[in-house]
Amino acid sequence: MLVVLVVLSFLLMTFDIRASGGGVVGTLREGTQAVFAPVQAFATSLVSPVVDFIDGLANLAGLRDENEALRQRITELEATISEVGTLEAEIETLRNITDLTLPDDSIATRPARVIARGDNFDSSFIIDKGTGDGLVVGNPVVDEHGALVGEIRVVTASSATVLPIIRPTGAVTVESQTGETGVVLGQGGAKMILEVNPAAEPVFADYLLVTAGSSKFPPALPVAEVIRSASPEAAKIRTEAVPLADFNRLKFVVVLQWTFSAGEQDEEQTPQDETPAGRSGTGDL
Amino acid sequence: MRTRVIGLSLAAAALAVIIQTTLFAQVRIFGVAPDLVMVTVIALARRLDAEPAVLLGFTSGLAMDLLGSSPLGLRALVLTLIAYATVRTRDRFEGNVLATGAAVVLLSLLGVVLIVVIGTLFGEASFRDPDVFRKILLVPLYNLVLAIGVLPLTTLVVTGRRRKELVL
Repeated sequence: MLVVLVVLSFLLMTFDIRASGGGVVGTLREGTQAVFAPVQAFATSLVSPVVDFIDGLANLAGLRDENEALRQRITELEATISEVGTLEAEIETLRNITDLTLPDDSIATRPARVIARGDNFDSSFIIDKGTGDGLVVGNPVVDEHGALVGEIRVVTASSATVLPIIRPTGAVTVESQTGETGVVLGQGGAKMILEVNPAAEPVFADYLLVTAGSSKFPPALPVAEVIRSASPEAAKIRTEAVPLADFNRLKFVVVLQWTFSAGEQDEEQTPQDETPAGRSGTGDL
Repeated sequence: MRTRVIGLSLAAAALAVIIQTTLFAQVRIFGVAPDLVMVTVIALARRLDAEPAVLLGFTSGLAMDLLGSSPLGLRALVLTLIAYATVRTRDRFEGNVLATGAAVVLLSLLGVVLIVVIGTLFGEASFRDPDVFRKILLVPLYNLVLAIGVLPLTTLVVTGRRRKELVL
């Protein structure tokens, strides 16, 4: 039994990688997600007060350090404060989403709530909108401020899986303020790597990196900010950047109902441009 | 009776998967969440026969794989092996609270390392994650804390009675 299951696991992994998440495996994922999504959405609504309470406690712990004199009063009001604070944050987020202005205002948008996430080694997450809301595989996803978050990988009638750009295999073609194009590579955490090759101009800390326009993302979406200045060495630059979206606190996102049209092929880069040398070409971000 | 126990075990594992992908998706201490599914598999494998135990590990892992984006079969493989390791070693830590705690930590550590190593072999680039070692160290510790509640609960579910040794 053990041997059968181990062999089956290896076969599944190999098959999944060869199919690049599509085919039977993709259908299986869609089916499972369709079954679990309503349960996860319900569970999220149940656990949200618990999470908000824990968030509130964490915030209050910080306030106590800074406001020793108000400790007693804060303790009395902590339940109320945490609840109100969370609600205000959600209202602010929703207001930002409503006011969101994209570089290309012809792109239709669809706000969505994050209802589930992967484990420690899987940064993907599931949102509560799907094909019933007009979403398709490949739609870009941004946060409330328009910063790039990722793209839709799997979509069901009422949910979709988002592959974030910070994934270790993630890569986005970007343009810096000097007009040079490069690639930002996900590392799985709070930092990303910017590679510019060939590079003629130095990049400086605080430089904003925006999408250069490709088959995966429309141009001019904010992606990351350079945090370490670097000059070209052998016509190459490799330095650090931080994503503009806060991936740990994403509760709402905005899906851009945009897909690459074949007519743009001549002007835009090819899909391969999104995957830098040295990365496995599994079709991921 | 056996069918009932397996059914209850599957239901417990499904509940663990849902809690893992919802509650623990948002509650992360130092950026790391406990692995409730792994703890549940370890806890249930202590009480089940060998075959149902490894099947439960495989099913739980497959559910996590299907709900995530990592290669299908990665967590299925890891949790199958963890369930098997639990079955093979449970006699050594049965009835001893300290040994049970140590076993949960070691089995969790093994599970996390396997996810990282096998994931890397299958293109997940987990070692590129700057927080990988923090995750490897913290997940077993968090799992130990979770086990304080999960182990007695699963024993209660599977055997239908409280056991004296289940302080842990």
